[in-house]
Amino acid sequence: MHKITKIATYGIIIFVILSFNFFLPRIMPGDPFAFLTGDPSTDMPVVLDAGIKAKLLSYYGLDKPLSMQYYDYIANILHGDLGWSIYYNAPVWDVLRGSLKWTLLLVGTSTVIYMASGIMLGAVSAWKKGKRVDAGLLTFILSLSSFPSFFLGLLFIILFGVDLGLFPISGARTPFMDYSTSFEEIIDILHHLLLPAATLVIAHIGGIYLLTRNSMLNVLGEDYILTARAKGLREGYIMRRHALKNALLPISTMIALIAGFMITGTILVETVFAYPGVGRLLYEAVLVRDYPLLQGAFMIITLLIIAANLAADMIYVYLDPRVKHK
Amino acid sequence: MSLLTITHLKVHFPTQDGMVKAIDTIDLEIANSERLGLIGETGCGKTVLGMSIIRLLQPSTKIEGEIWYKGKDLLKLSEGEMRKIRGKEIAMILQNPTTSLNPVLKVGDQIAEAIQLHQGLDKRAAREKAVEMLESVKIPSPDKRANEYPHEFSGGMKERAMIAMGLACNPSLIIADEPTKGLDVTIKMQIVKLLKEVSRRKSMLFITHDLGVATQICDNIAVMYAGELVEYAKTEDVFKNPLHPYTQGFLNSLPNMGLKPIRGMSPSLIDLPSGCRFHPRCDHASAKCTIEHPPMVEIEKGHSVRCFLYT
Repeated sequence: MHKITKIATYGIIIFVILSFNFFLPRIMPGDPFAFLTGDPSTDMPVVLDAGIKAKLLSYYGLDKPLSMQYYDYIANILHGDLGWSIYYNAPVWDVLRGSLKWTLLLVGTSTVIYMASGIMLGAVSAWKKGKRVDAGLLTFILSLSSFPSFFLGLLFIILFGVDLGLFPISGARTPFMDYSTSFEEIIDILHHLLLPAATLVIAHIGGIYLLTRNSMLNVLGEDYILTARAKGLREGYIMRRHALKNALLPISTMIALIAGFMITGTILVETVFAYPGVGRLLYEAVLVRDYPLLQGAFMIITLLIIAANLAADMIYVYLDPRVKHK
Repeated sequence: MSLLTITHLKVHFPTQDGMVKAIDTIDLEIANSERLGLIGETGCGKTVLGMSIIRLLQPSTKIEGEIWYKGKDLLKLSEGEMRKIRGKEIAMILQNPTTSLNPVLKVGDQIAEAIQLHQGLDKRAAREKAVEMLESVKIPSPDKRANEYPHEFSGGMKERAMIAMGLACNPSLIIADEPTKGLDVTIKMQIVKLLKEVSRRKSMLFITHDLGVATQICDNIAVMYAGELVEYAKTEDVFKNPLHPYTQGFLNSLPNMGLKPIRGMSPSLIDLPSGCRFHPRCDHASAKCTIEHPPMVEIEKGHSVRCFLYT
């Protein structure tokens, strides 16, 4: 029963979000062809006469009433068809697929790194509360995380990319490069990944660090920690085995929320580093009002966030035996 | 021969409102195989005494005096040496089993980890021992129960599990802090019976405000009031011949003795009354009691009291 309600809930959520994805782009001023007709609100002086525009609109089905377009959109999604990108003149899925892997690489790597290090540092900080280690970590991480991610990204580009020339300043790999070995390719990709990933890690580590620290401090005041000490167990062992698992409970529910912020952060960072991911694609799609591509990109992001929610739910069940039997 | 000797123990907590004199001053002995009841109202410092013996108080606490255990002053041991005593030599059964068991770890594992640590057994052997311990505290189907989590246990079973945890490494001294608190009468009696059984040939400091329970388990009873002992006697003497007005009042407040409460409130441990700490609530108080602090005096063998009525 519980599983069925859960699946139904996710189904409703997905449907509502898909509807938003359809209507939001259409609320924006302009349409995909405004940029081609030389609309005075844009600065693209391409001449497109009214007859051709009408033909184009009808070709992409944009002359139909909104309700019909909505029906087509939902029906196509159910068939796994995301539509045709107007700007790229290619299937939306093909356009998305190319950028999705880069986003997954960037978001995946940085999420793993900032989660693991944030939790670890937060736990250490709580354990050494009030001592020099704690004060140092708190000051350092909070001041670093207060930089907006795009600003930090620009600083990195200027410092490490331009001035020191240590890292490439754009892209996910060197263009037109012939790799002699796949190892060389991996190194090149990592080389491009480091700055944007570092930016994301720094931008997000503060939240998880503070959360873990507070959660650990709460847990350390619990009676069962005293019980563990009364058994003569070592402090380090008590931290790892008795405190951390309990402290992670509230954090696992936060993962879902954090995932949402992570996506917005990715849009900024991918744009700053011209990283060819879904975030940057979304940004471009907004500029040219490519409705199908926008819908597709939004949908992918939605699914990613829902997947993060699901992961959080599953982690919670794994951590807390009390929810298993309900 | 005494196993534990506490001399001139003072435990003070610095707080924003002032120094809390939780223990000021206590001298106490627990002999081998003695079961000593420590009786007093909530907030008189009973738990703090237990915690100071195994040194689990906050680092900011100011402790003076000596606590001798098997020829060592526990207050002078390093943290590492103290860890070898906790759980192995001296076990503390904390109050409130619902919050004292870790909710995310299996009960069997929580018992086994102390065994593994102190007796050097491997994981499997420690688990087997943990199951044995659960069996010894009369938990039915212990093998299955060892794999369950605390929320799957009833209140009485959790208390049994706490006792099993305390006994796991065969300690010489058990400090049991209000183990019958919050249990209903039938369960309470079962736990009392169990504690009596498992503490045979062991020393136990039994902390409680339930005199009825203490009389069933303890050989001697120490009555504590506002951070110090006011009477010490054999259990039957406390009932037959209570000397201190506080002990008398405590007895009279029991349900089967008339349910007459002691007037007034127990004093704040920050701002203790002058002279005898009980004088504001005492019917026998004289002018002397308001000024002078009475010493603990042995009236007959094994029966001491802190009151000017007997000197």
